[in-house]
Amino acid sequence: MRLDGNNNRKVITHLAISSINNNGMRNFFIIITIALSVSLLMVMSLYTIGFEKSQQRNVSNMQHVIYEKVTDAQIKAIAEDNRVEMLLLYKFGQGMEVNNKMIQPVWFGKEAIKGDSSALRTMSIIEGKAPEKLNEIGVSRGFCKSIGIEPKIGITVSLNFLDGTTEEFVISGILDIVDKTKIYPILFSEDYSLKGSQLKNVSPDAIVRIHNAEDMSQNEFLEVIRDIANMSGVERKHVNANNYFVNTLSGGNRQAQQIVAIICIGIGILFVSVLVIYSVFYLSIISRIRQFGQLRTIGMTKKQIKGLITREGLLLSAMGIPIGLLIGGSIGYIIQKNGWDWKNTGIITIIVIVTEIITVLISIHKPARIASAISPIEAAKFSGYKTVDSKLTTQKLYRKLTPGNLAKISGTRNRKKTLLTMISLGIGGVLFMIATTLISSTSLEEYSRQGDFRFGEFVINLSHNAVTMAEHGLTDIQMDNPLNDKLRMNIEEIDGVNEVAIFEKAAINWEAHGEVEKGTITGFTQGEISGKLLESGTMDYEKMVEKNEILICNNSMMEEIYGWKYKLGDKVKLTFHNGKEDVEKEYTIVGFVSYKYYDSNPEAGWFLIPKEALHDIMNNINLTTEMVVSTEHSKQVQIEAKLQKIIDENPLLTMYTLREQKEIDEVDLTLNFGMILGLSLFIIGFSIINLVNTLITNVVTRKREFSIFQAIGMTNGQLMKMIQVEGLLLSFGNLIITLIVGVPVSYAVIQLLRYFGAGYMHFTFPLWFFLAYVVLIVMIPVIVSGAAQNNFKKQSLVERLRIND
Amino acid sequence: MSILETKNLKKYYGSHPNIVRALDGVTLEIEDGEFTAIVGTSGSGKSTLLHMLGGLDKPTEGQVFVGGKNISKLNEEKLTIFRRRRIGFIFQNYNLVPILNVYENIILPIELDGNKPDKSYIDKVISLLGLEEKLMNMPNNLSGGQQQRVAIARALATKPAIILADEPTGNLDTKTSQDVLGLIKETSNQFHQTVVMITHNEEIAQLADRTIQIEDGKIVGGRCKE
Repeated sequence: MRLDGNNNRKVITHLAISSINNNGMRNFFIIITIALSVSLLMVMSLYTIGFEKSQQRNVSNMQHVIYEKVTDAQIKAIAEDNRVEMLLLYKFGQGMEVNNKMIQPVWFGKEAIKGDSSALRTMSIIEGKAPEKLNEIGVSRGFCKSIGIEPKIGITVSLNFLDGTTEEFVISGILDIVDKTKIYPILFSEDYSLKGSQLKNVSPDAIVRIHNAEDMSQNEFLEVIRDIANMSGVERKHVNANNYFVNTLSGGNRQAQQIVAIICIGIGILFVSVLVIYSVFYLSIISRIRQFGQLRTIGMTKKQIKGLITREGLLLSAMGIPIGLLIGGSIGYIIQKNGWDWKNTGIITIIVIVTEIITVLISIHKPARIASAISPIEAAKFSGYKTVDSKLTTQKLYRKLTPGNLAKISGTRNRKKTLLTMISLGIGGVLFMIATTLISSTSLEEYSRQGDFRFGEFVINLSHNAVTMAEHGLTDIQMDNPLNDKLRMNIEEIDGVNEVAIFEKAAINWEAHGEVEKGTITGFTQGEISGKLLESGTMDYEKMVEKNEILICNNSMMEEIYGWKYKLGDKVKLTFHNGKEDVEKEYTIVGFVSYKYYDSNPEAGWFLIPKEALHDIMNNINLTTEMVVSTEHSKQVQIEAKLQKIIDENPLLTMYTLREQKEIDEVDLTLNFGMILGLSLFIIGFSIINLVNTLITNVVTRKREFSIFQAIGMTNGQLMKMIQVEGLLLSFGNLIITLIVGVPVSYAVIQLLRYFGAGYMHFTFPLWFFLAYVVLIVMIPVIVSGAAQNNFKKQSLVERLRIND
Repeated sequence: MSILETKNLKKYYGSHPNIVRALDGVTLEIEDGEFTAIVGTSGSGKSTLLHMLGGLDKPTEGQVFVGGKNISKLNEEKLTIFRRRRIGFIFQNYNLVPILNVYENIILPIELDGNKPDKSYIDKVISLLGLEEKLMNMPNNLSGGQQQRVAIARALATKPAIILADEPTGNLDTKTSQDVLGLIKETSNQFHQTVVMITHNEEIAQLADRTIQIEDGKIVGGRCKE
């Protein structure tokens, strides 16, 4: 029988328990550290998994793909494809504006052509019944309110359609819709969809769900839906995949990025936890070296010492982990209620527990080895600082021995320990710096000013209604354009208006690669497109006018929609309607322009030709489609009122304001910042535990050393100063790391985000956050050192001098 | 002239009925330049007496006069400053500061007082104790005897009124003990220092000018060298 193989587990466990009972402060730190890292891991994983889950829940009742404008033959073919699980038809009529709100005639098939559509979220009726007769409709409460009628079954409503006709309908049911947007759907009967003026000429769209689509990767899914389209004769451009659904499938960039980010953050948290738990245990073991020596002397084996320390670690985990699970679980539930799932939570809990136990075991492995490697004789001599790299001699005969200098000398005695503490503190500081830089560098103003608001605070467009209604669409309105010089001058006369930016475009039909589509074209001025904007090709303004040459903007979008891209030299046929006649012209593509061009011209589409040429073809009609008004900040309220009056007077115009945009964005940003700050507080929590632990251990383990100083004449004031300076050196080390590493890394993060399109971010040093951090990090050593010193003063100097005797 | 005097010195620990009378009415006088040994068995109260004499601890009752000054009345801060200027300690376990080299340990009390060391005096002490070669060494790198010599040098550095030595040879072998004792005696002669040394070793006590025997917190006897 092996000596250490007998039944001594109880003794070791008993020793571990009594050791824990006798080290309140240390245990408190370790438990808090474990609880912190567990709750951080929990929150992060619950949030991410919950996000996926809530998306899955959302998409489980959604279509996978819509095949648009399908013919009867195509419907039959799609339904016969055995990969199709469900097929439901619906019609989407021409939208129109009523009282500044859009209304949208729709019809949904009562039953699916194939499969069961009952789970699909369409229009459900909360009161009355779905429309059946030709003159029955379903409407939402919001719609009734907007046109000033009571939302009751049986009420007659007359609707004025775009073509000028008026039809009367009876409300048969109220739709279950919360009208958040400006669009009100109106549900018509099947009869009306076949015979009614608004829907009979509209081709139906097919809502389709695919068998086992949830298990496919993004590419597989896209291949399947495109193949079904191909087999059924549906054109590629009429395949409208549900991107929201596609994003929940594996294999996407977004998912991969997210998983990588989560794993990186997770490893970061664990790394910091390892450092903190390690240093707490290391310091605790260093201070108990003599005790281990005694245990070894009376016959404890090395293995038993290791077992003792490991068991201490596990016992502390048993206390810290449940606390962390509870805190993390609660926070996770609160921030991601929609995605809460007991099974996922169970799995995450198990993974987090296992990870944390492994983390604790890794953290205490080295300290346990140090403790077990102590020989009884060595332990008796051990003075607490005779560790790894104690020097034999000094370089200098003599260093100035003021309390401050003594603190510095003390800091260098165990460089490894000092460095370790500083690094683990520094990591916290750097993460805090990055998090708060993200906040301080984000400008709400610029965030909201992406797009049209880049040029001003008020955007005035031609009414969608008006454009749709006109026979030749946009051109008809432009013939007598309300966005004219008179309007511009009227606006410019308003007190506080600085400038009115004008953007224009013209409607066209284009033909290329066998597609015939509607679109728009924009003119550019000489010198406007140059440098990096022109991604490839060459252009010469004059030659472009002469030789019917054209530029394509955002070519990659073509591939996404049509599956092909333009190449240099491709021909594209454009048909313009200039108010008098249709002009048909063939253009040669001579260059491709970056999508960044949209930043300087929000009305631009795919096609760009010289402005002169465009105006010439369009018979010099006013092509303005958007005016953006930039104003003095202090007068915006009055200006908005005046502009609103102008808009109200002209039914052809609509207006959007930066103020509304900012209100929407602020909600989003506040939520994000809240989460970033929450995360930072966790991180700072680690740093503080680490710092406080180091400071307290520093004092507690050196009681005797301090008593020597006092015996030979160091006053309490001098001692206090020495201890505080030692703590402050750690703080300053931490702050220096935070600045030297944190600032460049934060700067790089912001630049990276800018590169990926977050142009509203500008590196701004998070001064206030940093100052708060400085105060915290500087106050802690001062307070903790004072408290610790007061604590050890409870023992008399003589008693403390005897500690190691 | 007596440099050190105690009057009815008492130190009690604990509370009734478990009172420990570590010192129970000690009255003594020690002359300037005298080398006194306090002997007694373990637990007799000799260490407590030394701590009271050096102002490391405060008496429950009675007074301690050093050079005519009643140190029992000083507050902690003043006592500390008094200690570093007037008293030199030599401990059984040396009590050197591990992060400072030999030279820095020696001059530490002077520096703590904000003064510049008297170079020629310090050099003399160092050479007398044979520490010239070890000045830049760290204490952990020295033998027990060498460490105790550093402690003696430190005790002498401030030219204190009294040197108090608590079993200075307790951790040393016989040969080294002889050396160290010789050095204490020699330096005290050389610099005309008053030395009070605790020991339980009668042989060592023989070297002293005077011995005071203490038992159960009371002086029970003593002798003076002829």
